[in-house]
Amino acid sequence: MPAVYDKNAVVITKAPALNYFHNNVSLPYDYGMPSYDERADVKAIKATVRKSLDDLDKETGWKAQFKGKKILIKPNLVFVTPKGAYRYDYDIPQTTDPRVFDAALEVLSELVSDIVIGEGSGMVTWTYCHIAGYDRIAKHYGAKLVYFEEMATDRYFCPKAECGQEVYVPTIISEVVKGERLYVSVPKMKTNIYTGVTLGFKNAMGTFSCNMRYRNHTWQIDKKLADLLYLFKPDLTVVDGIIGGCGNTPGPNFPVIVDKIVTGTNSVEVDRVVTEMMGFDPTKNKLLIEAGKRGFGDPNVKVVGEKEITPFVPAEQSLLTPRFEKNWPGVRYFVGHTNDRAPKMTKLDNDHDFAVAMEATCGGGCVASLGTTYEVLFGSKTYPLTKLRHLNIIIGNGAEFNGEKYWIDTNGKAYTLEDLKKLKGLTYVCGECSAPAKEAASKGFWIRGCGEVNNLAFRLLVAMMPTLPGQFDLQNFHLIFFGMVRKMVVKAFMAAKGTPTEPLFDAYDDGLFTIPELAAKNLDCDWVEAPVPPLTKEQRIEAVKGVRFIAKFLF
Amino acid sequence: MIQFLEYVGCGILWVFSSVLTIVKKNPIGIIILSLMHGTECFLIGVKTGLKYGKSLPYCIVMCMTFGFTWWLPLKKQMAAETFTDADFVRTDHDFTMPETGV
Amino acid sequence: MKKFLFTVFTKLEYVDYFLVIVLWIAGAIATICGFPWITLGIVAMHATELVTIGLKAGIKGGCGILYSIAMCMMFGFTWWVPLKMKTNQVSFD
Repeated sequence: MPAVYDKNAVVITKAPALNYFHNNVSLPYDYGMPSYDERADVKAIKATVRKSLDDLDKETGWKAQFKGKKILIKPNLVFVTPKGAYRYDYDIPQTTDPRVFDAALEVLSELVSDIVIGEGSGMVTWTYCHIAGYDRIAKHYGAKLVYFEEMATDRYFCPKAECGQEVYVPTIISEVVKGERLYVSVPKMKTNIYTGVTLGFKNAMGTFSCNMRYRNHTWQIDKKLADLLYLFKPDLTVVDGIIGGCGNTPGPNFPVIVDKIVTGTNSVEVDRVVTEMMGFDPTKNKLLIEAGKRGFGDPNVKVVGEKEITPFVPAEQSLLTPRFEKNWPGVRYFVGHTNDRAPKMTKLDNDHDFAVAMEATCGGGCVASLGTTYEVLFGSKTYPLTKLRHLNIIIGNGAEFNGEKYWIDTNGKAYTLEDLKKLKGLTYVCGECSAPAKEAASKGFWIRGCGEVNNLAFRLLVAMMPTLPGQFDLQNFHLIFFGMVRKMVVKAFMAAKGTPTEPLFDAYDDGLFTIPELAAKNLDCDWVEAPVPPLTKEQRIEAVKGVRFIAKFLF
Repeated sequence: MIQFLEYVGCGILWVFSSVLTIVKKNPIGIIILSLMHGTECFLIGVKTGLKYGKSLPYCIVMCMTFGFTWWLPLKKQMAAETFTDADFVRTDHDFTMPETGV
Repeated sequence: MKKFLFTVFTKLEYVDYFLVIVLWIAGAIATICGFPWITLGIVAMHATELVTIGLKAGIKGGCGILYSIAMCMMFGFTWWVPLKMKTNQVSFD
């Protein structure tokens, strides 16, 4: 049975004001030795996390729910990039602080019978767990460490879901879905270019293998994540707000000193409180709106502690910002959409605000991925910022006006396809929906697919000038390479065995993954188990072929 | 990066010594490398590695293969990562926002 | 069959050496990535060969002790098998 609480609470606990910057991304070498426990930062973090969880127990009785149970605890590892990976002189704060994770696990290990630590960073989780020291944490507590992208998957149908009715999750998540294992989410307090913020329940994105991530990794990303709550939700959330991360995560972000640990039993409410603490209005955050609309929040939640606001620099889900234009003066950007969400074009001469509204039509898709990649380029040590790089970027199927299609630039000026074809320099046409503009693309730079982040990012790197992206940290390059080989071998082996780790790539456009006939039959249940029939020999071969070193590149 | 180059250099030394042994039937290179790395391993390598939290088999193989090019950077890194209470006192200089246009 | 195998080993001596060096390099890379067991496996195997066959075969074949130790520890049976063959230490009768 999953944890059932009579009342939900969110507890905000303040940590002593110390310098927590040492080892906030990777564990110190002396972890597990007495000297580690004697460190001032470790003592302070352990005391803060314990106090927060004890206070939460007083309000909700969560400890009684966890006693003797099995748990799956998930940190949030995005790109684990310690100091030196980028041009910045600090550890990139986009990974759950391992000291906080260890402190939470210390409390939980006193209660539960079986611990599994699970994560899927999307890239090389084995490597990231090794760099951050999560493998050592697992060893210390006798826990099993699993990498979601290397696990066989189970299929579920979620009839009530709006856009992600068919879901493939790692087998260990099935134990959570069926109530055999409780789920603890330990995210980092940080902004995110796709969803505004990424906290307790957004952390579940890490349970998806790449091909599942690409599905609806578009303007529908908020709906997709909220839909996942029908399948499983955290029974306990511990937000690492010791050092937060602001800016365009998952690109290299910037630290924010917050000194807080936030715990709670309802992850949507925890996220709502933390969003407010970051200086954002939770009623305007699409992800929280979608979760609220589906009834996953709790209006009666009790908030314990002071909601002190620490302003975070928001993520910019746009290439039309003053900052982008200042950093990348050589990039010309044209956007135009014709769909239900796009503003209608009523004249040829529009303004900047119109261009922004047009771009926002597909905020969580290509634009966010481009923004992330530019952030990576900007921070990469080997990227020569002093040399101006020119590139024309075109997004969208064109905005219709008087039977003609137009793409508008940052000033709102409209361009026809013929105008775009005459642009000087390299032209990069982004996304499957941009097919009407593909003739304007330079050879090899029409980026097909929808929401296929790696495909888009790698070719943008080539277009802007090849460089070694910061997340391929030279200090740990051998581990990253080894991790990628390892991942590919394991995935190919699993596929050959007939237990593939993900469905075949199918995110060619922004179509929904719905099961209409099933939804009609099961309107009242949150999920239905839908085992995949055993694979035929041909299907196994296809599955093995589908395993890629980096990503599936669509041409 | 420097460490990577040092490892490559050490690897070249091993290969060169092996070729010398095969072609000239002179095992001197291999013997010197083995004795030198063995002594380092016994005197300092394993001790440093274990203190840094590495496993014994890892320390032995790394020190026997790469000698001081492995344990010396590790020792330096350990010194840089060893903190006292004073390092955890909050100051205004803990973090400076870089020039990123934010 | 025995003769055939020995002949193949002898003819491919340098290729075998090259392959063993590649194996050592792979072991070193795996160790850097935190997996020292390939290297330790090779060492254990070669040390056993040295004590049981290699040193004896080397001395019988007119090699120096240090040379025999170095070659056997580095190349294992890819060294002592061709040596035995070349110095008529093996009978195919």
